Amino acid sequence: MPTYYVASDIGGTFTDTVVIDAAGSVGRYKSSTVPDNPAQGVLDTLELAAAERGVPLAELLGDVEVFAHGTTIATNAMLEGRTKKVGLIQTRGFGDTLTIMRGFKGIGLDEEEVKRFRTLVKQPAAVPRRLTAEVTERIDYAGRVVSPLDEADVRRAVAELRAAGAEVFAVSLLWSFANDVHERRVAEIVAEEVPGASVTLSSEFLPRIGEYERTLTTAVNASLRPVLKTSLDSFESTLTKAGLRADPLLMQSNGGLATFAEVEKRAAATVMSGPVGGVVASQFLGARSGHRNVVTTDMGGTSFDVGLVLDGRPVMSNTTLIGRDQLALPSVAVRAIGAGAGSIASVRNGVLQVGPESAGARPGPACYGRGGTLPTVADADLVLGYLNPDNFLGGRLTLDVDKARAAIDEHVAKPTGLTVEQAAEGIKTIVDARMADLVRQVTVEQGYDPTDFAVFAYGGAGPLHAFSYGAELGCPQIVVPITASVHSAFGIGCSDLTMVEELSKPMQTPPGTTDHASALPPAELNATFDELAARARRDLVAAGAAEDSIAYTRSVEIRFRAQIHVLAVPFEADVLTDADVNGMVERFVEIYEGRFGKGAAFLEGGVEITTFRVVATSPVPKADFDTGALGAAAGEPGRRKVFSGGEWRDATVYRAEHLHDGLHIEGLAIVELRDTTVVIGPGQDAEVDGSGDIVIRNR
Amino acid sequence: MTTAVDPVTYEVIRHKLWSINSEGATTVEHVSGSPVVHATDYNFGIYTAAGEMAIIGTYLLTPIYTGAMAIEVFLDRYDDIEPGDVFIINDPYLAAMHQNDVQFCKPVFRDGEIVAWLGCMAHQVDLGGMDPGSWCTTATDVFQEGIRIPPGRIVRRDVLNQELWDTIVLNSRMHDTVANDFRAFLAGLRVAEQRFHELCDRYGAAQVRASMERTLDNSEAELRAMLRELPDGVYEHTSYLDRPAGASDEIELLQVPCRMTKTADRIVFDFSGSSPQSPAYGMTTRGGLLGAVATLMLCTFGSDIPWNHGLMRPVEVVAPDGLCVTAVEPMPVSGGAAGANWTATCSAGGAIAKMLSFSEKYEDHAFGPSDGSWQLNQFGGIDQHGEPFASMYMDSLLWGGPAFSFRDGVDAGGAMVILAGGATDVEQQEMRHPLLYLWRRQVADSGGAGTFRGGNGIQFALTPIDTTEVTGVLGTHGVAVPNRTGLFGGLPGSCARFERVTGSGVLDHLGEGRPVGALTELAGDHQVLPGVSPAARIAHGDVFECTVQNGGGYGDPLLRDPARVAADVEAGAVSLDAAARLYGVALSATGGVDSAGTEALRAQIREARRARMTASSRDAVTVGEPTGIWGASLLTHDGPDGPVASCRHCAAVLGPIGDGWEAIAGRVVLGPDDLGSRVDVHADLATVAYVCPECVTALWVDTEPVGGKDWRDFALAGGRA
Repeated sequence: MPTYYVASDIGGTFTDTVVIDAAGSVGRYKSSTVPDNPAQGVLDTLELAAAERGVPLAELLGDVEVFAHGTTIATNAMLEGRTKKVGLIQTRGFGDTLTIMRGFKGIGLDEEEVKRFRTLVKQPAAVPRRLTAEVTERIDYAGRVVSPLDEADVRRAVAELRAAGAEVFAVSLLWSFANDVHERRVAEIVAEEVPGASVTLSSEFLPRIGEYERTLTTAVNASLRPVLKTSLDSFESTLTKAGLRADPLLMQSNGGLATFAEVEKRAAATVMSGPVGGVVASQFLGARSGHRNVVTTDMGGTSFDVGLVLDGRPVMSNTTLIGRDQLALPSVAVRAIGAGAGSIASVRNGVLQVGPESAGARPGPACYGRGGTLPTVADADLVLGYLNPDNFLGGRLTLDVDKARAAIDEHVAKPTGLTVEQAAEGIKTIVDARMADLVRQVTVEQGYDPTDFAVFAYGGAGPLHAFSYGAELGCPQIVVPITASVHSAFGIGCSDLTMVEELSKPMQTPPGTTDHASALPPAELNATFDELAARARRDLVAAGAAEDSIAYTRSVEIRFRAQIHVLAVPFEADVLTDADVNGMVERFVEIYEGRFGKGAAFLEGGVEITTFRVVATSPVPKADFDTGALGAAAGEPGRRKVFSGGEWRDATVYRAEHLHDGLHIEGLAIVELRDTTVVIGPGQDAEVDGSGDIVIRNR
Repeated sequence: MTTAVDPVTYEVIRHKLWSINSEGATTVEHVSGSPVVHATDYNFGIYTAAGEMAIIGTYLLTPIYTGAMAIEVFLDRYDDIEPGDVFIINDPYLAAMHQNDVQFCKPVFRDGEIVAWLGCMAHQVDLGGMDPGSWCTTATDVFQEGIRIPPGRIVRRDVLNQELWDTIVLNSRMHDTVANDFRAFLAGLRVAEQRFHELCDRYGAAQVRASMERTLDNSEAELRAMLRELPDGVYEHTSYLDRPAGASDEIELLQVPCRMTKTADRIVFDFSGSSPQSPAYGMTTRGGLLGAVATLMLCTFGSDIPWNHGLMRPVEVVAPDGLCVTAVEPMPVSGGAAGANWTATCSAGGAIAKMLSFSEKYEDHAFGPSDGSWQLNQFGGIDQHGEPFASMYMDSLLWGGPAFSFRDGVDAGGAMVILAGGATDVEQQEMRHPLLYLWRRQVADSGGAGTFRGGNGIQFALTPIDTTEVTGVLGTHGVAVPNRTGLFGGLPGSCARFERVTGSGVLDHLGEGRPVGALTELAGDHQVLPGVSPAARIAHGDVFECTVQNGGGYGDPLLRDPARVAADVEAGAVSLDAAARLYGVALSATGGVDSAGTEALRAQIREARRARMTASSRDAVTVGEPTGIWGASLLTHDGPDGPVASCRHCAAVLGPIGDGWEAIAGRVVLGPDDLGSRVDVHADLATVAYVCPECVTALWVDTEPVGGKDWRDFALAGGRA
């Protein structure tokens, strides 16, 4: 009986699925997303997989051992406001925490938007003030009760919130992570007053210091839980009815998988479910091909997303940006700018600009023939000869060269006095330069130079543009993985079950400390880590992980007391000794200076641990995949003209069936894969490796 | 410079210059460990060979212009500038807002010629002087303040000027932090210079220079085109700086009037009527004044135009030396980052708004005084860990923003001077400092009422915990006069305030489970502290409260959509009392709008206004169709002898306005009952509503001398609107 490992990435436009069989062969499928019924898009891709194998869908589904997916349910619910009304309970005197937003009005905006003072306003608060109630109580920084909880006040607050329309409850009191006695009692009272009500406590869900982000994240989570639960229940039942026997798994923003039961409690942890898959896939493939440092570049229709893999691990952020809200949940760090195949080119004051406005999927680029008339990057790619109008998305869409030329002529060429080809190349040059600038910025901010990294390029348009932005950055290798068109789905299939447990427990060392273990006693650190590890273990075992399969990473968020930047520093040992604690501080100084410059550390002022974190992972069964079985050389590659460097040049054109292990390709060349187009620039060579990845190098 | 750049190369170079600038800024931030740098009190810029700003980011804006001033000084004083030189300056009389702002500038040479300058500046935590932090609120001359660094070279031909470096670092209480910031400057300049050279290698220095010139030319051309669309004339607004007068409880006022003349595509800001300089708190130098004007040019005219020196080319700032906005040696100027230049921002902002509002196209660009006062809240003592501490609380940045013609001001965080800044979590503050917050909340009615209301600001209260006492260094203006006046009938926002309750026993109070909702609920001795309080003692059991100064409204509050008032009441942003008293909105028991009650209430308020109104002189004039507007208040028409105005609300023809409009409006002097909470008006001043004599809608509300104002909001050139 065959066994399949299946992973899907349900995006806004397309649902991508990879099906890996026990022999390791990777099948890739793409279908349109069905917004109201995400399971349908998945089934559509699996129909393709079943047909390819000549088996009925139900039979294929019955043989699926692991099904994992990424979803935009939580993201869309949040961005479209389809969430439950939260009644928020806060400490008296601090009910304006969410509306004050610590005063920031520019988070999530680009520089152009920040400088436009007249339209620079805050986003609406996650919970409107009328759905927020204050209760009399206060706990201080040491966890001591300064003012006892007034229970009658809580009952009054609950009644008020219900009257105001609260459907679910969130509780976020000051310093509750240091002492949760008041939050627990509030939960009991809510249960008494509103039996069966959904209540999320910040001390349970996110025991982290920093009341703004903790309150925001707790409230968002409370508002998403019922929505996500309804969607996942229906998703699961659709797939089960179709024949799936395995328990489906869901990708979290932290790059790990979780069961539906677990995810339902941590709904807000799935908002980056899709985009992080590509970084995990790059980590996985990079490890196979010996790339420890990778810049991941995902160029889609509207945005260009950049992630980093450093020393074999994805760079994580302590927060997750969704829309204009910064949630205090760790995520695989992904930075985006509005540069994609649909980015619109325009001329103002004789200056040619590309993006950030996008034509999106509808009306889309002019060449899609769906009514778009503004020139986009895709139109430029077509006019320049990079795209084959008859072999786009596997031939499912025929591109209209005349419409692309007309749009560029009218909106770019005429206003600037350039020819259509020059204008098209100008559009491409500008968008490529912007992407290179973002990659540079992301690596430099981490204290690295882009030339230390291999570029992985994927997404609909990444493989076409990477030759150019990669060359500009001076990166030694540009890798277009065989999975490029379904890279995020592939990454979801490569992920492990993951559980993150955190607790803020501030601990300082006095200025001038040299033996840090004296102020940060290992016994105390071990006790905190053990408690967090036990919680993570309990949840992973409940999700079906074997206890001995679980690996733990212990880390602390730490900073110099006189300074601002917090870094997460891991411990290598399971049980810490004095030497481990002092070693951790040394490593902190090392990482800090690596990132912020030699001499930037200020150890004399003492250090401060704020948060303890345990990341527990358990591998999900997966096949050792093998994509080596590539097409046997079938005939000579073709040729076509490409406009590059101001002139029409000959380019060699390969198709998927031409690719084989060790194939050497000399630029200028184009490789037309089923769902994506790869370009090797003039002055570049490429090699196809055993996995089917195309590795481009500057000559 | 006639090198042509094709539009593609231009756009690529322009973006790369941005990228170079941000890489320089990132490097400075990374290498500097200073919390002030991380609160964005720094900037990094790329300048043309002549020292004009080519690329500037959205950091703290008020010192943005001083880099250009510094380069001008270097070019003027040195004729032996060579590759590998790095210049330094912090002399506030030449090119800084105050001594803390140290600027490093480096020329970039190609083929023996300067092609650009790179510059960076950051507020240094301490450069000596009589008070830690070098913000010397009681200094009476500059020699009591931080060290002054004349224009010079900190690096000469790539060799560090160690003697100068040591001299400066030795004069700081924080040697290491200052040395680290200086290293950060050099690192940032080095990285940016290297990347700039790479850009020149690739595209040629001529193309890079031409691209920089073109960004400036483009912005300048866009600004001039915009200016030509606005009527020529003189526009005036006055703002005041209040401060303790000597040792008494008296408060004295300094005035900072701005007389702005717009002719074709040029603007002259004239501050000559400002109060003379004096040896006390509040003085600012020309650097601070130019920074104030430049900040406004960026944030008003520059909202859709790329930011660079092109936005300052058509601008001239006039003011003789020796005024409170152009202080010269030996006036104390360490507080110059937040003194009379903020008042100048308010008066110039008002003048610009009055001009923009003559255009239907640009009236949505107009806003009233945007930033009233920086309330310095610096606390020090022994913390809960038994260690000394000193910390500036950034909470006072959370003031309300100004209202616009189409929207309310931003609540709690509406600052213009730091567009992207904010404050820290309460828990982060409490973990580090021995002060327990009792509240940090938005204050109802603190933004000025209006058709669109000003943003409400915050108030926060602290009490010492696990320490015996802390000392506060407090400094602000705007406690006795609202700097944040409204536009077109909108009311001023609330004033700044520091309060203290000694012997309140607040911790016992809380321990008994009794809530504390306001200072008034506490026992003990209640005191309003002077705006400048250099050593305020806050002992165990005392409570300290800071309330910020907030945004003015736009348009008569009686014209606000009652549904919005009801929503504000429900959200706690407007009190029931203010809803009735200022907005004339009656609400039902369930909080909905009582339409009949509202109509009656509004009629009643109008009648009361009419009864108190000093009528205007109105000549009977016949006019044709309107030819223009002045904000929410007036329609303009061509009359036989120049422009004539009618009321934009009731269409009544009011009279000629070529020489100002004040005479055609009725006047109503407003008292405390007509204003929002905590609007304190100095005895020498009065808040006056200029109303339509026909429908009594408020057309403008201003704070002006009791005896009447001696300026006009506008006087149109040639009497034409």
